[in-house]
Amino acid sequence: MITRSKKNRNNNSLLKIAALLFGYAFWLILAQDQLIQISPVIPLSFYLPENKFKIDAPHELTIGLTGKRLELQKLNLNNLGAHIDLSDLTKTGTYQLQITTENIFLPSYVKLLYYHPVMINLELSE
Amino acid sequence: MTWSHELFYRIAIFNLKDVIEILSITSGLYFFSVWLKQDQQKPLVLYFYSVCSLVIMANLIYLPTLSSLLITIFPIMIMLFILIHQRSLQQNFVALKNIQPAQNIINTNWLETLLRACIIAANNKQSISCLIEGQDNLANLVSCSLIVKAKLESALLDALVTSNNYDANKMIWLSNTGLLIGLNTNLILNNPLNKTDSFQEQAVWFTKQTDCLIFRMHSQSKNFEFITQGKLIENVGMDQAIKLMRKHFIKDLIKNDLTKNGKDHDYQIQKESKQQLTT
Repeated sequence: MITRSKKNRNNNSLLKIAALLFGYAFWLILAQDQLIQISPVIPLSFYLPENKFKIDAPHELTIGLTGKRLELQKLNLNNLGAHIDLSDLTKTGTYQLQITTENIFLPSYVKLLYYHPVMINLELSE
Repeated sequence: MTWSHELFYRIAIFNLKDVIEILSITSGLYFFSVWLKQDQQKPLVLYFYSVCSLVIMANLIYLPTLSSLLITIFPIMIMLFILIHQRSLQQNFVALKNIQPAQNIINTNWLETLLRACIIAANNKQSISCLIEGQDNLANLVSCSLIVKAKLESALLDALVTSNNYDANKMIWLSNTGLLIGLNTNLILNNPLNKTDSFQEQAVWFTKQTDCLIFRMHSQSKNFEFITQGKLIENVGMDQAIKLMRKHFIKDLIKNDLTKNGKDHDYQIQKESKQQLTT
């Protein structure tokens, strides 16, 4: 009796595992071409030709991306970032900079929907 | 990014809605496979997951036409699984399998033995009802509390019918080859009829769905009541009863002959039986 109930429980566990695997596979088949949206936080990097100033500015940027589910899954979020060239800034002081889409490097298969902050305050000091 | 976020991201799950969707599909598959597992006759769970694997494989190896076709006909395949499930078949009174009679137990004079037992029972003021199955397997469509499965012999039947275990309100279940399958048999009626409907109404409905014959001999009138193919024939005398039953079973025997080639020993037995019944 005990053996039978144990066997039945094992069988049901097997069915549960099979249902989960097949359920996930079916969901992925049906959902792979869906357009979805994600909002990762990416690092904000600044480029200074000479490392003579100390930069005080936000370090992160929140971006909204859209694309097909499988394509977004291929995207390596660790490789994303916004890059701002500060080579024109030669003096210390406080600046207000606007971030543009050109500052955010993305692969062609994803579309940028939004990002914030759009404007950042940057302080350069010795 | 935490390891769990990373994991979910790698398997293309981006938010809670995705998890809810996957769990819904998983629950549906699980409860459906548990229901399929209840079919004791066919390994439907195995067939079902084989079909699912086929659909997934077609998608994985990029066979777009086959994949689209399989996904389109997948609901139809699910409907087929529901239809061929044992419980659905029982509810619709469809016998999936025909009986393959064990020919070595064909009893050539079982009709006479049975009618003799009916007369003896009637003399003992006992009504007798019989269910004689044709080619449709009734194993899942009737309930039998006393399984016998023995060649119908006069002495055996007398002993059983006079025993305390025999319930005269229920039926004796026989095969058309003269095998006594069981006593105290009831029809399982998962049907539109009410349980309060009379025996005749239930039997008429049952025989309409299957190829069996049901008869009852009344102890007082000593007349028979035959029900087959959804028709009720009442007040049938002994002579007529023999003719009717012979007519019914000769038809089955001829059908069996056509499917056999008449080459084996069993054919000879059937032939003898047929000759005996026609004379």
